Amino acid sequence: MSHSIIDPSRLERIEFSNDEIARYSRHLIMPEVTMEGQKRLKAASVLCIGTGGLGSPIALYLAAAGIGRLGLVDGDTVDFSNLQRQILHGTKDVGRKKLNSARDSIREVNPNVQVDLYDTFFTAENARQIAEPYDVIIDGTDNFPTRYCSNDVSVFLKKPNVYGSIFRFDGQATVFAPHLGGPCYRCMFPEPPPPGMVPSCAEGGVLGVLPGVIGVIQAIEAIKLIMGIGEPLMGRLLHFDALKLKFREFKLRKDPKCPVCGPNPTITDLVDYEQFCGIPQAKAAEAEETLVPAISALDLKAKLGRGDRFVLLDVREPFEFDICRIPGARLIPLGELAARMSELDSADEIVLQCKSGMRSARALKLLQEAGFGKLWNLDGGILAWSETVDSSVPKY
Amino acid sequence: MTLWINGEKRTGIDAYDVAELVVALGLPAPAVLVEHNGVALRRAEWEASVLREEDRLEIIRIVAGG
Repeated sequence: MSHSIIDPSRLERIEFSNDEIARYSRHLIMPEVTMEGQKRLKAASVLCIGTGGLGSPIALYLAAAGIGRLGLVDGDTVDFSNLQRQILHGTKDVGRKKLNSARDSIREVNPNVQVDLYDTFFTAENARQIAEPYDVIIDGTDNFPTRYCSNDVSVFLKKPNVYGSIFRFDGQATVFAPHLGGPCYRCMFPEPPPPGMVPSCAEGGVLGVLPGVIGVIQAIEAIKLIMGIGEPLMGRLLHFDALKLKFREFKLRKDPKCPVCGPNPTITDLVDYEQFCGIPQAKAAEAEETLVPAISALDLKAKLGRGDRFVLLDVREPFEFDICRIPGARLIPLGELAARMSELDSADEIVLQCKSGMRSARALKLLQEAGFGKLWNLDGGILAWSETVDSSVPKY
Repeated sequence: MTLWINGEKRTGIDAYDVAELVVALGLPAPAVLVEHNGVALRRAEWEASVLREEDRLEIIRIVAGG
């Protein structure tokens, strides 16, 4: 049995209406919870960073459970591609600020919850100020810079950081709380993996239901810390494999040399997390890589309209070609291009195309090195084509 | 060498220590966590963690989506 992180003095002012008592009755009759635990929940405040796949079940379940105050941080707007998993937002919310849509959903579930909205991304500039008033920080973000930022600010402010992450069919969760004797994110990963090594859900996909499993585990851990019951998921990384339907537990050790939570920290204030994770450097390298002869989607349309003789070569994967294509395009996936170059004629003019222009730029360089001369890269790929030329081509 | 990796028996693995094993499995080292015979390893301990027959390893690739 652990201790509640909520000081008992804060429970004195907490009262419940008869409606609230009825609402929380299934909690109140459990000896592990009782009025005492429910009061702790109502007295407590939780900051949820991100209102996407993880943030949705976290916020909805914490609100339903009767958390007193819920802070939400997100600077994004709702997109159609979010709806497969982000259950805070509905079809009618596409184009709205995620925070407004989240607030409406939470009110619907439980109007007793105080909802604080922070319409911004969580960065070194605002993190300390936003996180300061809350008892628990929940990390439901989707990128490394924000995860390191969320970790560091939680360590500095001595607040538990309930971590969750998802990708494709795999999810992970743990509780970082050095002030309670556990490790922090930097004990586990002192240095971020280089950009591109760990793909995002936008790049690699994610099973829509998966954040439900992981987000709910994060909500459970927050509630346990607040009520002071059970054994927190501290010093243990829980890994969930949806395809095998298996949970594995992985030990995490506090690093005595940890640069933020160790006894001799070298990092004592928030840093530029984009820089730390190598994002600007990677963007510069990417700009360098796409520095090839380019054609805009509108110019490609004009070229097709004139009846110019050229080959339109799509270098995406076959399953992407099945989703959408530009009429007349030939498919040779980038990975097969080197072996299938003989199918192309170096005398032909070739326009290369992928989803956004990165892979086709690589393909262009490959063909250039092989002696092809008349090459163009479709700037912005098929996404730009859909955006500026033909909106009947779906974006994915 | 025969090892138990994530609960599954794997034979014919050629690796002297955990660092070599991560390479042999084709895993991206900076994005991987390893537990060797029940002990969570820090990256700096991979070279000193010499493998023996039938050792048990838990390997997790970190993910960051949300």
